[in-house]
Amino acid sequence: MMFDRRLLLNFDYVLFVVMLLLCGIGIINLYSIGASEGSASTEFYYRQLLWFCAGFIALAVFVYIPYARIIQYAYYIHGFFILLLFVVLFMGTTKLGSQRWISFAGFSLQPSELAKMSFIFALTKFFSENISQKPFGLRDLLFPLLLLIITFVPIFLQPDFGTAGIFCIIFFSFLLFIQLEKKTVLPFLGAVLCFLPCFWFFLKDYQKKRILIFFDPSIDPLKSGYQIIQSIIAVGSGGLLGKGFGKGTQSQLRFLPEQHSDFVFSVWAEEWGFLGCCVVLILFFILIYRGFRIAFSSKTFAGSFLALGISCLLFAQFFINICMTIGFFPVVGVPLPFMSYGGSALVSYMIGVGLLLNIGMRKFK
Amino acid sequence: MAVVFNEILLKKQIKTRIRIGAIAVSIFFVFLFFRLYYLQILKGSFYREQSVNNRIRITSLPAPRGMIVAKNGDILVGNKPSFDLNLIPQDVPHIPATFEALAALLSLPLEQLQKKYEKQKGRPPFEPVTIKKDLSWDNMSLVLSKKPELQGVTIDVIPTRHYPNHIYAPHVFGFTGEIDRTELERYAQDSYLLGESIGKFGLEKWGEPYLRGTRGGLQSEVDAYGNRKKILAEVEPVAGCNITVSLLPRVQRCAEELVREHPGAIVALDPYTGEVLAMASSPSFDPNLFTRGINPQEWQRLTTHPSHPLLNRAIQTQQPPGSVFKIVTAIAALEEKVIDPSFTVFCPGYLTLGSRTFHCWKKHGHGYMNLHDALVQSCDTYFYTLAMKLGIDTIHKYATMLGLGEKTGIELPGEKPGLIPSQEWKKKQFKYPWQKGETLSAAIGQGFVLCTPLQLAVMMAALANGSYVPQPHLVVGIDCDKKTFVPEPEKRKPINISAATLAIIKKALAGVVNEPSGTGGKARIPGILVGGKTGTAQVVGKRVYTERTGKLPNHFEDHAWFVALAPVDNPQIVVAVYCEHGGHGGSAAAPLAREIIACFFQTDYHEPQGFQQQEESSDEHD
Repeated sequence: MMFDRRLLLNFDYVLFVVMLLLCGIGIINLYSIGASEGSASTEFYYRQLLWFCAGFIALAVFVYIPYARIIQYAYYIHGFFILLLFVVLFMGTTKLGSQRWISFAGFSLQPSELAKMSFIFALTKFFSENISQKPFGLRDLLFPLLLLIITFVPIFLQPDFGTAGIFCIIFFSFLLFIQLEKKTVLPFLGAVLCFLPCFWFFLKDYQKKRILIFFDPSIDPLKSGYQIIQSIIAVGSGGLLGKGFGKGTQSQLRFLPEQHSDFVFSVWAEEWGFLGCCVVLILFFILIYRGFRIAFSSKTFAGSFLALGISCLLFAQFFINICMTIGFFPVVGVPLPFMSYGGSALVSYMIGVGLLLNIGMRKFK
Repeated sequence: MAVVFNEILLKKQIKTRIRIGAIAVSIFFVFLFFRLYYLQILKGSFYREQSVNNRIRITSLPAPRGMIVAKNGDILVGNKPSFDLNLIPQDVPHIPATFEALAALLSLPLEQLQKKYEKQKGRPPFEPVTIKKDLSWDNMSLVLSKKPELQGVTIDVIPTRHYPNHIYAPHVFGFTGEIDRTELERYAQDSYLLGESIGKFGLEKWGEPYLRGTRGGLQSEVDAYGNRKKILAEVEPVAGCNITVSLLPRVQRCAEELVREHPGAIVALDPYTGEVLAMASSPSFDPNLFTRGINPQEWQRLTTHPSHPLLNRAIQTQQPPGSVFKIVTAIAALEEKVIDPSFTVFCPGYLTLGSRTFHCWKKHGHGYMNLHDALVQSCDTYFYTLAMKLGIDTIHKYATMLGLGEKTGIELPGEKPGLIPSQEWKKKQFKYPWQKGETLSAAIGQGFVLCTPLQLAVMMAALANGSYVPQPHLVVGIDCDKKTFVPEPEKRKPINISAATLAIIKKALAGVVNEPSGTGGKARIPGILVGGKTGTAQVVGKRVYTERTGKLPNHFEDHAWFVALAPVDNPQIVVAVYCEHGGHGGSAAAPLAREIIACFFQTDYHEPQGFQQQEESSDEHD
């Protein structure tokens, strides 16, 4: 088979380099955190590096396989991950009071992270195959809604409120890019608004508390309220240039909670200051902008939807996480793509970038 | 062509939306940009100030543990303040110097202080480390007088468990101790802190969720010395719930004094409600040893002591009940109508089954015996005869009906179920069928049959009230800060025994104590009609040992039992007494039952001198 030169011509080097830079920043940042926490956690950056290598291979594979082929099998892939989510629920490893991981050979896999990608595949397949001049009605949306619910429920029960919420965001971001029947939009919004308060009763006490604290931080000044205060101090104290690598007092003295997952950005902001934050912001902006551009120029519906789904996922994770660290969003446990510690998430996002590159390369097909 | 047209139009619509989306995303980015600009550039110096000396601290305020009180309001288990010496590493300018100063001040070895500190290493430097618990007044004032020189050293008042009566029902109330690793993992959801106290034994363990309370805390700003400057927020701790128990302090004290001398247990119940009036186990221990961490030598001594002081003998000893079990055999025979009360057996002192001889405890025999006399004089031959008529499974049915062979469900952890054998059980356990001779042993409470003192007391309660097996319980109320739990009504398991049978049995039990030929004469109290039954549990190996050496060391001595109810016609208390290696039920256990009943009815009665009575000896068989 002749290799099409156009594929190489359309390879989005900017996107690729931006991703590498973000991963690099993430690992440097984890190294700094590890140094502060003593021997127990120096491994974080090292493990993240190993996962990065695994992610790189996954990325290469997902660049090479034409995306249309992946979309073709999307339902099977997503079905497999739903199965895995139920497996986790019944026999997974419990950490920090929730059951999210499958352990093997010293590594643990978090299927809910990979399921984000497969959920995007499945929605892409559905919407690209069913799109027509006629707008989508409520009846047409039953299948993707069902898909959302059976993915949502096992994750919600783990319990992982943040990730479950991300699945809803993925679903609604798809709805933003298709035509809905006028008479569908209102009942749909109405149903969602009615449904949201019902969720309240399914939440665990600590989850309810986190949300209440966001509206009134004085409810729990000892724990979550304190975390947010310490995170804001960390970000603010970075100033223009930051305190320097490995010199952030908030993180080195461990005032910051969850440093290597939810609050990595606070560590970065403290040590590298406003300039460092701007670099991360700009890199993410380029990443997401390039994703939208690829969606814009793709000639197929599948390509556009897939690129949009991935871009929206990256943006939602990024935005919610940063808002959490600056006290603009409840602490719901949404990690920062490429920078928070977590192998499954890193591999999943690298696959996402691989697919964006893939769609960009094959835009003329 | 139409399809292509559609696609182009649709594509155009999507592209428009992507444009809008890109603009929206850009706006969000600009928002984040300005927010970070505000925090880091405009307010940068303010936050830097706050972080340079991060002076916002969280101090945990431990909740006082709930108390255990008697129905009359007496505090049986409470708390007292303890003054703990803490150190906040971040605030200490020079740690070795501070340790030296403290060691000199408190005249404690330097290594001991450092060891405590080393153990806590790896924790955030702003979290206090407890260096010494429970400072004396003198030491505390010494430290306070040097406070300005001891930067980063604080004294905190912590409520600590205290058992005011020292050795007062320690097996029932149990004790608390520092939470260990496995418990931390098991209760991960309940946010326990390292070093926090948790109920480890007895009611303290059972009632942990009620007694614990909710920890509070302070978010405060401190100065360079670690002193609180300003309290930013405070969450008050909520004290744990108080548990009211049914124990009668007076009767409990009597029971403990009675068993103090020798290993054993006494249980007294209210026969109608199943409320535990007294529960004592001996040997005992001081629960105060555990509250602030027991030292290894003391722990070693308690756990390796040959008489196991940590064992609650009232619920954790299972022994053959001996002749006490004849009550069950008699009920089974009457209810199954295999005999009538006048059925008579001649006792020559033994009974032959096939090639084996089963002896009665009275070597020369009791002569002619009817049911009443057989119970009063505890004639083994009579019950061997009933055993052959009944079979083991019928005996099993009645024993189980009376609550034997299964846990009673009292609130104390670690209860043993005892054992009532059946054909099915033996086949499962030994893969060997049941032997007829084993039924004979079982009928007189030997062989496989095992009971706990509590189970026998519960059985007596069922006979006393005549209609149900009550669930024995200690907790009668749980009072919390805002609400009061009413404990679930105790479960009652109905028994199906005719009034006529019960009357015959009760009359015989009264005879055991009050007839001249009865085996339980030492339980007699003038003015109160006590009914009871003696029992003697054989210790395996006794005969072999005696034959070889002629002498009997104490740990081969038989276990003595006595169960009682009083008064027989209107029972208000049932009692089970167990004396480990005490010898015979009539001589060792019956007097204790008398004392506890007398104590309950507040009559001072003591055994007259030179009192004669029948002595039951252990039943001899293979």
